[in-house]
Amino acid sequence: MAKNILTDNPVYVVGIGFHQYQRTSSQSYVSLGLAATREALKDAAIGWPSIEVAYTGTAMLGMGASRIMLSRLGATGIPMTQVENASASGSSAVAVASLEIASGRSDIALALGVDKQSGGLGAAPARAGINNLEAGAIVPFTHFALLASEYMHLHGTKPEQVAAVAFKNHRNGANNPYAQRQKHRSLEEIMSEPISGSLTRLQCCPVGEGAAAVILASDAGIKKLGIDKRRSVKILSSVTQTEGLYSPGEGIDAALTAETARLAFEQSSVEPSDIDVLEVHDAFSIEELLYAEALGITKPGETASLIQSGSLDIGGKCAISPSGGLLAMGHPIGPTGVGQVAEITRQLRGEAGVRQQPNAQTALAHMVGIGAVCVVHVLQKN
Amino acid sequence: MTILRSRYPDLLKLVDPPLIVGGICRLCDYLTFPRDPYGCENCGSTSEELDSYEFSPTGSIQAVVTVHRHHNPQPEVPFNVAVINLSEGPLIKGIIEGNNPKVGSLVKGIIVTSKPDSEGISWADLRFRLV
Ligand SMILES: [Zn+2]
Repeated sequence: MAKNILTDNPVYVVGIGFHQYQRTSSQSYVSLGLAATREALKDAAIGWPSIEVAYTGTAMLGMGASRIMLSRLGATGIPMTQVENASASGSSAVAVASLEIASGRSDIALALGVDKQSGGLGAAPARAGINNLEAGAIVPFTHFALLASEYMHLHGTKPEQVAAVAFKNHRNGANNPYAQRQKHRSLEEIMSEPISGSLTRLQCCPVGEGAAAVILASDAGIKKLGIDKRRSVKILSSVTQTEGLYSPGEGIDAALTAETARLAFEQSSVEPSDIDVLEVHDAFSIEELLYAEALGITKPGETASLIQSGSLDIGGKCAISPSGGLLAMGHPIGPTGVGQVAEITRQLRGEAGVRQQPNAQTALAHMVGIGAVCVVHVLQKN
Repeated sequence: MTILRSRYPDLLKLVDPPLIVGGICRLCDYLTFPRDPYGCENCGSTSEELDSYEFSPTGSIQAVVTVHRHHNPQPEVPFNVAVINLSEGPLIKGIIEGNNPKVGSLVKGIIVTSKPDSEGISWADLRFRLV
């Protein structure tokens, strides 16, 4: 088993920042990335020259995105590297930045997520030279509509119960100034405009643009810069897994998440029942049900009724997607995983305002990406 | 004169009933659809150890949905798509013809053909029909 070097070498989130997620616009990615980074520096109350290393999570910008942005804060010459892991690119930027700090090589790191659609090459698996018979008729939303069909058949869940995930997340997003969708929607609105199976437009995440930034620090970095440690949040574990071969009948998406979560809980000595806040990869409403269960936060088949009872709302047993999740906050790809960690940090600091999960102590961030890859971070109030 | 061609000759054989071509690993008997040209995901053997394996496209529906929006004019919406548990193991996804497909329904593969193009070629695709 991989060693968890975060146990002996603690890594903290000490600054967070965003540029609002939005529809694709004419705004340059440079200004998106700079806005999030400046806000994170201000939040940590440190200057750019204190940043020793930067990792940029991006999947759509093309080669060499970091320096053209970050040198505008001062060309300090620090190491900068792009990190790509499809939808989990931002999560992986956080993962390598925490490893960098835990290794002792650096004391202060920036993990930035920034993206905008650029009509690039797209997903490599589609160009691997492995053909299929479906002629493009089965796109991602239909893959997840089929999973919804299977889930509803297995557990007797109704389409409106799956849609209730989007109702909750749109309501949370309505209170998040950084969200792409900030409208409270009725269940009727959510159930209209069918796309595939029971999935509707508002049960599919918008892919736009934006940026999110977190600043990570070691104990030495916090001390050196006089950072307020009470506002820091500790990363207990950071685990990445890729899809294995699972037994027949086991859904690939849920099985990959279950395996990644098992390792993340094992390495952090935290139980699923300890999680007060979950930011989950809810690109499609059904995914929140599948992953909450695969993570062990809810039991198989019970998530829809827990949503109905309010126990997964802000103020419930575990607040799922208090940011609005991918469904309402949006899924600009590179920023998404970084934004989850930033939202969790805000929650664990107790600074989330109307979105605050009361007495939040422990939280989990979960992203999956085409390939397939899964990245899980467990964080705790300091 | 119309010439009938498989749109995916490596994957779909125009025999009656049609066959789909997947792969089997000589070292570990692992079955795949589609055939993998690179190596075995189960044991890591090289492509030299991978043979083609013809599956009969019959099985049962594990999940089914109606697609209401599609980025291409073909297939025309709405159309039904299912995850099919092939009798011989692997899961495949396909378009279902006919009304009211349900989870558990038995299906078999059929060939559908396009209108001949300007060169007189009619392209054959695999669809599924309720048995
Ligand atoms: Zn093999």
